[in-house]
Amino acid sequence: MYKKLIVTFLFITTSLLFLIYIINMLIDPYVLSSSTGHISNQEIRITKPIKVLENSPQKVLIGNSRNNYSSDLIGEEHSNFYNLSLSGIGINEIAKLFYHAVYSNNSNLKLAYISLDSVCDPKDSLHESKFIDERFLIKPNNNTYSILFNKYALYTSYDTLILSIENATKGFLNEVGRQTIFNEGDYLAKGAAHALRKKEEITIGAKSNKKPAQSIIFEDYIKTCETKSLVKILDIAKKENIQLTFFINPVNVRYWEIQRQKNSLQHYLFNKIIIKKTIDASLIGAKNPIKVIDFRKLNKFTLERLSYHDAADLYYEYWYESSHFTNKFGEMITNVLQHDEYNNTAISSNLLDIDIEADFKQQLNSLKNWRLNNTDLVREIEQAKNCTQNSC
Amino acid sequence: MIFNYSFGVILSSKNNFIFKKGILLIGIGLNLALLGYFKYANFFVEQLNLVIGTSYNLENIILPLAISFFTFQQISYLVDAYRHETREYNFLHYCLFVTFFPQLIAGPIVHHKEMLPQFANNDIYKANSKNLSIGLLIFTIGLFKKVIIADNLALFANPVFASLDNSGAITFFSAWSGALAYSFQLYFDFSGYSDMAIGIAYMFGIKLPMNFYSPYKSTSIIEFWRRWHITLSRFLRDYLYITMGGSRKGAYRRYVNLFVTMLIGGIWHGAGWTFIIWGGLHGVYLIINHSWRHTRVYILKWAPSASLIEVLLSTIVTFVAVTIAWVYFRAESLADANSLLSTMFGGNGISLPMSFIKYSELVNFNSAVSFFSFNGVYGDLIYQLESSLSWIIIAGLFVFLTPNSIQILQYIETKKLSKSNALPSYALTILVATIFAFVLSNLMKVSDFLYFNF
Repeated sequence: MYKKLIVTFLFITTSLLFLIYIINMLIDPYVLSSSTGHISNQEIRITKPIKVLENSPQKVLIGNSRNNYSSDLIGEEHSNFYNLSLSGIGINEIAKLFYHAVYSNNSNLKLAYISLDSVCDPKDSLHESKFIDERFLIKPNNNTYSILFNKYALYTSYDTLILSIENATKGFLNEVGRQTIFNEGDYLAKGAAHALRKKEEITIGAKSNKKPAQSIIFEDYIKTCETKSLVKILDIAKKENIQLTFFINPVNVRYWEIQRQKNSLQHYLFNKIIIKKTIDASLIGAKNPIKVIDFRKLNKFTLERLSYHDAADLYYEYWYESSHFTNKFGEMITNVLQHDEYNNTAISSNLLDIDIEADFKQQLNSLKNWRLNNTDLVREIEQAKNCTQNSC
Repeated sequence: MIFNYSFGVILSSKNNFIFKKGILLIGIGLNLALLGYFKYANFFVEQLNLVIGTSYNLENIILPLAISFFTFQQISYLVDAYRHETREYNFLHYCLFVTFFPQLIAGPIVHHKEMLPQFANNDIYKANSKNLSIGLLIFTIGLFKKVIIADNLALFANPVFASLDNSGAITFFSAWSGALAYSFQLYFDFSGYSDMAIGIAYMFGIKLPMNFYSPYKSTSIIEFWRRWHITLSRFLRDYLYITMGGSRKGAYRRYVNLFVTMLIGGIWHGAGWTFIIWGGLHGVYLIINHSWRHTRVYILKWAPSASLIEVLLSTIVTFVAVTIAWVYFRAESLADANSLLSTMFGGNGISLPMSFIKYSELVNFNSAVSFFSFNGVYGDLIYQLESSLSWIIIAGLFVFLTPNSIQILQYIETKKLSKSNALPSYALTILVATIFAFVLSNLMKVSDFLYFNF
């Protein structure tokens, strides 16, 4: 009698696990068995590190959500390139991903484009992004497919199935690792103006649940800023002879204004100064020259007008919302990176070659002019800042 | 093992008393010296440096796995051999007693009297489908407790304890969420491990002693220690408390003995002031509990009743007292623990939901304006804690309303299975197999048991 119960137990258990596995195999929520496919925002963190292990690219681009949605390398470079960017990650995770790309078994890495939107390490583990899934760095499971036995994979399969029914004609992850449809926060579907409003309410309104920053001078700021992740990246690159090109992503002028209203605009300047100091110190003895291409400037692309009151069916040319640029702008950026055209002063300059403070003053002047000419937009941001949970 | 076994053989022989006492003291001393070196040397050097201002530094000492557990087991063997309470055991069986893998790492702390006779029974070396079935059931309960409940509660306890160094990050409700989540996490984690150990051993036909018996249902601290980590309490009682005189030398000595026993119980868990305070706190709790019982029965002549209100109140008071002590047990430092406790008692004000701000005009909050804030129930930790309440409630329902695994085991053991009553057994098997598959499908990454640290 007990033997029959044990057989029943084993049969039910293995059947259920295999059912989960087969469903997950068929839907392939992590895009493991193909080069492109539908993928949810969450699961991309599993797929990308695995794809780097499988593809051994010569060039990688590692950045945050801005690059996850908007950065391809163009032309023949395509085949040797992988976009390892993930939404929500900071410098600490970027360093881990860089380490992963450099030290994976069959690594062919020669060149890395790395985003330095924020160079200071998180103060403590609580503020560290948990988005990256460290199980899949360097040493993935002996059998990657074993993750398909998991119930989370089953939930993801369900999401993926819905995603593929709703967007049957569109691929979500392309062959070089870019998520081709912007679904950050999942609010673009209602229109760009809606996305803009939602994002800004979350960034600066009461929903952000953050107290406004206090105005701070550089000497105080530097005390709170550790750069061990950047130093780690520089050390690895020097040791393994990897060419590095850093870059700072652009944001729309509205985002500059948001930072101004939050007393955080000076952080843009401080970030650039710290990058320059850290890299200058590391360049001694380095074989490869390092560039830091600064796209965080006000120019005709970043000054594109975005408003809450724009029509719902209007989609902006260069922006999904104020902090995420479209693939069209992304292509211009990767073109500059790819062909070393950073002296194209319309959108960029090499941070290591310029007077950072003078350049920043120039940007502030542009911002001042923009504020004078766009008082309605400034007011929109002020209203978003003062909104409460109920009124937004 | 060779050393302890040999000492045991000498101690159980009929040598003269003084010689044997010397051997016993050497045996216990060597066991404790090993434990002391591996577990406490760094702590003592740190304290010495603090007191005399030196900077001595020991190399990193790697703590041998399960040393606290097998040290206690072997000390009890030596003491019992000295008392002539052991038999002539086979050496291989003795080795199996010390290294029996299901309970080696985190207990239950087993006694030679309950294990070695079982190893001598040849029946356990044959597969037995009844034992296998019951073992699987108990193992599944333990795995469920660990993977589904404890690991999910950890998601709410960890951020609270991790952010104690950020002044102001923790608010009243987040502090209580963290403390309660940890209380339940520790119970489900540790009792889950014990259940898994009992279940695996059962599959081999070995019956391990119970280690938990619904401790949070206790109506007093005295009862709590009869239900929590029962095998450790038993060891401390038999080999420490009673050896020191127990309650045989008057009330005052009894309280001192209780306090010292609990203090040593605290130190056993780890080298640090937080464990010492935790043990001391439980010592004080026990003294208060015994004094109160004495006062109530003999002075106030107020007989205990089993009324629902009294049981409920006693259970709540006991649970809160235990939760407060767990804060010391979990915190990284005394400062962290004090900071969390201060917040739990309003020291950092109370943060209310942002939507409550409208009521601040209706109610006169002016006098307490700095005490209340409106940054959300969990303040800065909102994203980590927003679903903590539902998990704490689920855990509470399991703890207070369901039978424990020992009760389930006893029920199943006494049930006779036959063809006529097979249907419920098949239904139970399908349910347990489904739960087992569900739990396995939740295994994402390595998650250590909390008691591996001890």
